[in-house]
Amino acid sequence: MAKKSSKRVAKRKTKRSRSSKGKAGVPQEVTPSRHLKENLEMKDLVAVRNLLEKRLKEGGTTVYEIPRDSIKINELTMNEALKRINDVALDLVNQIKITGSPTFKIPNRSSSNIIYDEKQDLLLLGQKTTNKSLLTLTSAQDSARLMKVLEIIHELLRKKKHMTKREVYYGDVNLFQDQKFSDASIEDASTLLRTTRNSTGIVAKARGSAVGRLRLKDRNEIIDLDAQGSGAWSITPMIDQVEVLESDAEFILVLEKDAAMMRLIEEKWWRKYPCIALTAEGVGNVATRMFLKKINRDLRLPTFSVVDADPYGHYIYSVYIRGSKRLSYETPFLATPDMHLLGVLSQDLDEYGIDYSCRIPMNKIDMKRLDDILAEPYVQANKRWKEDLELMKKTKMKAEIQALSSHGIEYLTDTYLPNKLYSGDWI
Amino acid sequence: MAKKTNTSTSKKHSEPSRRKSRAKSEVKSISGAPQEVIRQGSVAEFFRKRTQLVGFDFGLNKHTQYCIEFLDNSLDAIESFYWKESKRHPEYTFKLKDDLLLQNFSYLAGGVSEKDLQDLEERLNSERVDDAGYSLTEDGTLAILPEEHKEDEELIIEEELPKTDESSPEDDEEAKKLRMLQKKDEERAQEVQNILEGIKNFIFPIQVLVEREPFVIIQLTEREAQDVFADASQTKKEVLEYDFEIFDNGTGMSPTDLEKFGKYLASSKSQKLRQTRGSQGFGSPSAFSDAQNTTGKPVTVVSKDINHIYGIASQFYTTSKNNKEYVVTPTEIDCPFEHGTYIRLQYINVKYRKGYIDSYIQMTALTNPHITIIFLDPYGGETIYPRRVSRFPREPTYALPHPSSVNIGDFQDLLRTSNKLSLSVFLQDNFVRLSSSMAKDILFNAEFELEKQLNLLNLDHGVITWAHNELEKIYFIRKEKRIFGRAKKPREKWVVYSIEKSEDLKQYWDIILPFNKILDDIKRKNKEIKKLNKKISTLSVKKEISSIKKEISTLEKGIAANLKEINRQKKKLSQIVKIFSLNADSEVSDVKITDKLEENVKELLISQARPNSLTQKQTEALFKAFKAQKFMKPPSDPAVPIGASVLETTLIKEYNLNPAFRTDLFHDIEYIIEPLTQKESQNFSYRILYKFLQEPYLNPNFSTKDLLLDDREHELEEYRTLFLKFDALYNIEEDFIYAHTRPPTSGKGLAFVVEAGIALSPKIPQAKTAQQVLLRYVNRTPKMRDNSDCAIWKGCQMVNWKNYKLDTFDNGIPKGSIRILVNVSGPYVHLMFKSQSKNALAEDEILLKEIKYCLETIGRKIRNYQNRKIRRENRRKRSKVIEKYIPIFVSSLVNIIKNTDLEQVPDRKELESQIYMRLEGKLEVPEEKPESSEKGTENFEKIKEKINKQKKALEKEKEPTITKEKAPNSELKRESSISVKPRSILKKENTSQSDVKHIPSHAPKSVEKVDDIIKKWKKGAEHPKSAKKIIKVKDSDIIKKKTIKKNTPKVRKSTQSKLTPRKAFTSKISAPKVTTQTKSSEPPKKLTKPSSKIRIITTDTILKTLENQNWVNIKDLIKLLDIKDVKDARYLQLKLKQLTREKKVLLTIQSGRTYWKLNKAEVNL
Repeated sequence: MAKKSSKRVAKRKTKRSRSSKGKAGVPQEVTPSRHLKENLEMKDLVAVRNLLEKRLKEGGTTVYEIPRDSIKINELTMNEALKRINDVALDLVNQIKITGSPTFKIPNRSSSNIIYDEKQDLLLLGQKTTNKSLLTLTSAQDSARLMKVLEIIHELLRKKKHMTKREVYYGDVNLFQDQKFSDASIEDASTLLRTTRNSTGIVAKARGSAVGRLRLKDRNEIIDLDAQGSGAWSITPMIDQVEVLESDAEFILVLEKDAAMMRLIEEKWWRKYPCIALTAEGVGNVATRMFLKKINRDLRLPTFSVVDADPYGHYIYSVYIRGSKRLSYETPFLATPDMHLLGVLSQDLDEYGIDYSCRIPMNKIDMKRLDDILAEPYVQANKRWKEDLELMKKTKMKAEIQALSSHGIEYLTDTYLPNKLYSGDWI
Repeated sequence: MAKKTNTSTSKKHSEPSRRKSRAKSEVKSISGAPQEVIRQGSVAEFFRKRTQLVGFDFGLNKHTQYCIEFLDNSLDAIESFYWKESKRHPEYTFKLKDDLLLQNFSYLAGGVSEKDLQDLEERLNSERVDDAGYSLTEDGTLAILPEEHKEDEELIIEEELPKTDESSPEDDEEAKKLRMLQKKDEERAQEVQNILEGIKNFIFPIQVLVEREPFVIIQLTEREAQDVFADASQTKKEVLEYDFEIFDNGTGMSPTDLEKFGKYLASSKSQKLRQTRGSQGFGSPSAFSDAQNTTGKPVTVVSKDINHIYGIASQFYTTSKNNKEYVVTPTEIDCPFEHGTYIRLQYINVKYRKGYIDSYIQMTALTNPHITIIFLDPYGGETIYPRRVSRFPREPTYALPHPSSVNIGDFQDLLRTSNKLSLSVFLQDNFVRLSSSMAKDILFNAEFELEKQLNLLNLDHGVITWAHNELEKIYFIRKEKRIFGRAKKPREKWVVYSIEKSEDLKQYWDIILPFNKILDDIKRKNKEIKKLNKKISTLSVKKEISSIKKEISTLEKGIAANLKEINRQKKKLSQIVKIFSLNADSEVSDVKITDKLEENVKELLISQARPNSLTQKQTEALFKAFKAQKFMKPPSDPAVPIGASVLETTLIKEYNLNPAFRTDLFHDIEYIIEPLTQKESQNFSYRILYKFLQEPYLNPNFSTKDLLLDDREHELEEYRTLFLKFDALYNIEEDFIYAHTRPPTSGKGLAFVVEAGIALSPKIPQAKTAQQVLLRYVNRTPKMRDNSDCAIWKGCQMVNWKNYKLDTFDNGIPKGSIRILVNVSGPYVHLMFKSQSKNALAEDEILLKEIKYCLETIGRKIRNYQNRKIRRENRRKRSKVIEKYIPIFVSSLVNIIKNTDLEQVPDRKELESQIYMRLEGKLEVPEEKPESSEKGTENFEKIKEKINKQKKALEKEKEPTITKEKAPNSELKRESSISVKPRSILKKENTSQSDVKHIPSHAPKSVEKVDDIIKKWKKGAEHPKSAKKIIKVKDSDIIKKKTIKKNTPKVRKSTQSKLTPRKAFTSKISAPKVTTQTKSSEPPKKLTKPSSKIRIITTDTILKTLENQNWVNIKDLIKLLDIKDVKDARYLQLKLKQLTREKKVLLTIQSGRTYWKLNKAEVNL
């Protein structure tokens, strides 16, 4: 069964792929179609260098112009944020005194209110608002939770402290009942205040880590990401307190998986190819994304991501470049739109001769996710990305980064990444 | 019933067989006088020993039985007094204005004195509060019943007392004793004096009211019983002697009546069937018997008829011979009352407990709200049920028996006792719904029946034998004038001819043979019908039954055709016989034949017979024809229901319920019932409303500036709380009350009406038993025993209450805070009682069905109410959920503000209460964008247009019927627009300020119209919400303004003028002329064409919308008229009904839905 299906796939591939002619008859032994170079040096990676130069020439950080019909979100200083909360509170008191019915006007975060800004390639929030009144059955609970969250934020800002979402949830378990409710309220609160979540003092749990050619100043301490031993520096949620000191990296590599990160660390890969590597262990969390955004903006380095060759991997990539829908209002502060998808692309599977035993047929859920991603306007706008996804749809096969290890443990670091970077074969 | 036995025959028959057993008595009888074996007892004797048959069995229920008997009598007496009196003086009423006095009336606290009365008069004069009450009639309509004059109405008591056979000799005895006693009269004088004193003391607290209020007062006092009488072995319970006193101011008894009172079967009601409470004449005599049986003390009766100067006092025993033994002879005394009866008796019974007499009286009061009832219990408590309505019910008429209810025995009896000269008159006089033509038909049919039996044919000019066999001899008999014997003048005599000529015979047989065949055919068809009917009873499939019914009807048609044919043939025969050669030769002289024929012919000619001398054959034939005839249903006027509105009123007042103002769409008149029991708040609301309504209009010099200066905060608060109260009353705690009266129906040939009322409210105490829930009434009399035997009970069980979202007990009677009141009225019920004690109605199919339908009608209303309640309950639950979060929310909010230096920290409780207020709907929502100045002018423009438009509309409606409608409408509005008016007043002020000329200060009537206009304006406003909001903000200001003007003369003025329309309304009914006068007094109005786009529901708008439409449903109309409010829709419905009555609009009902269409012919006119 497996043989037959792979035969069929192989046949199809012969027609499509550029360099697998003549090999179609021997499907069992998959040999890389591309001529792979060994022992590539940093100086050989011309494509990356060109990109870097181009970026440096562009100079400066891009200034976002918020479209007219979207909501303006500011990063706020603590005092500004405090003032906004005060305004909201006073308004509520007035409402109670006059009508007896306090109502929040919160920008709507439903998908219907999310705008894709083609010009800047960002997801943004529209101007629709939802009213949350204490005196309606549907939103009474929400209103109370939101008020509680506002109270906590107020306290945090006054005391200049930070708190994780989880902590907020434990602040009043009876009221919040489940962390998903408190998380929603936290998001509501930051939208209500028209600011980033980071400005509210509530931080996500730190889950990302970074290594590479970078020196940071976190509060008063200097951290060298090159000297982290066998581990990596875990990205702090309090990015606002981090300062970039110096770096001689030439590119940034964002990895989906901790395992790939492990490979790099063990090889001390960034010493050979000066770079900064970071991972969020899955979907980029806010802290990681903010950190990435920060170093990307400050150092103006070309940024690449290495994800699994499956719809979920592509989704992770899309989150880095466009932001998630849930936090679309914070997109300008989280997204890294000029990031490239280095791999693993569907076409790479053949080009790098990934064995069929390492490829996994996609299930229904994968197919659905794939269709969803394909339907996104920003995917449709990107021709290469679209092609690659359509190829994946045709083969109905996916593979993880680890599939590269079928050629050997060092294949990823020694062969795959350098060759990819060398050939400029990214999206 | 008379059991006069032939003593001699009975002796002969019984002696041999009973000799042994009667031996002793024979020995004792010394003389040879004929020995009576069968002795006739008297009714009195029978019932004296068996008082339990009538309900006087030892136990707690006996207390109630005493109350039942005498209270019923009293109520009947009061009613008959009123009816009699109001016939003599049409405007007579009890002075029913005094129910203000009854509000806080207490017998034990000294009752009412003359001074109280005077105070009341003064108060009424000063406040001008009209207490005429609502003009409720017994069946919810205001139609005045044409005064009918019945000859026999006057003889209620005087003529109808039965004369028993034994009365005359015993009366003599009585008279002797009377004379004896009269000698000792002087000795008795003191006793009479004592009786009188007793009454005076008894009546004293209500002395003033005796001539003003219809009332019954009952007192029960207990004292230690003498051991001899209190047979403790019977029961272990405590036994006491009771003193039962009752007084009513009904029609008293004349001295002659009083003599008969207390004897068995002496009744003012038993003779003819009529809707009365009592009927037989068992009650009070049995009570007397029981009283004497237990205590041995005489009964005291004092009674006065209004036609006599003196009342009669007497004290007597009743005897087993059904007569009286006087202790105090009937003595003329100066009564402390003009008319009425006082009875006092003592009896022994187990110790009285609450829940017997008092609950009976409570139930009685519910259905007799036109009479005040006072009960004083043995333990110093008093229960007073003040009169609730201001009208007496219509007087029920006597009911003649309906043919369908008569059996042959009754029929024979009637024939025997009739002194009428012809049967036709007899039939018409003795039965209801029997016309002369119908009587003729009956007689014709009876004759035909006789023809068949006697084998004779009546040919009008003579009678011919009806042969079935060709061998039979044919005779013809006719009347001829002959001279007999010594007489010189010819006299009529039956002459018999025999027909022998062959030609004649041939002609005769030519007709008779087919004639007989037709008859056989009829017989055959009748048999078939019988067969088919039998078959129907075995079938259960509807289709089959209907097909058989069709067959039957075709057969019946065939019979009818046959009968026609027979008549034709008969006529033909009669023609032919005329030509027959009849001469002296053919005359039959054989006496045997002639006599027999003569006899038969006489029997045949039933129409010439006298009712009291009919032969057996004739009676049977007549009864057969009589029963075969189809009659109209009996008339409904002998049954007088209590009336749905009265039932509702009493239920509301009894349980102090708060109905939302109710609009009854199914009757012509909408009425509301004042739920506020306190007069004060009533006055209060009137005053407010009048102010809002009138002042700007009535005072041309009125200026709003004057009012703006006022700042009487406390009055403002007063008004605000009042409005909140209204809001609570009308919107939130609505109770369910609905009563329904079925149209009269008949059973057993007599009319009856079923009506029911249901009250549902948390205020009604939860019922523990089904008995407490279902209150059964028969002719307004509560029935408390033998519940489950009763048809009413069963009818109630038949209803599937689950459909109406009501919980039931296991026996199928609803449970909870609910009361179901079912009343069956009509003379019919007297035939339906299961026993002498009249506690339960027999289960008649029609009766059960009526009860079921009636309750189901109400049930449907309950379902609506329950649904509404559930919705409200859900809302309440929701608000409970929300309430939980309010403190959390507020504390967070306060915490935030507390930690900022900027603001003063608000009070947490204040905020919370503010939110709670809003949650409970007590806080108004202010306008978000205060553009009141602009909008104000806009509104002002709109109102101007509206008013003009409205005036136009009102002018168009000139028919008196509309004005009739208007008045009750205005009454309705008084309630319904309470919340509306204060809002709209702002507009009015605006108009009045700048547009005084446009609104003339017209007569009071116009005020009502303005009210109308405002209401309609409010309804028509396109954006009522925004409008409301502005006004709400200003609300307080307005009220403030109003309060300044509140100086007493104006209040009076306003009340006065408000009341006038209502008075005009009542007068309109009696004299429609008045309406035209009031109409003409209206000042002429300048009309400007309305150009507004706002929808308002007027006759014009409805007609206009209908103009271009074909048949329209109300839903479509609502869309077309752009109606967004339920009230408006309701109003539209009312309007449509009114238009339908005026025939401006046509109406059809298709598949259960009603459609309207413009009646173009009518409208164009």
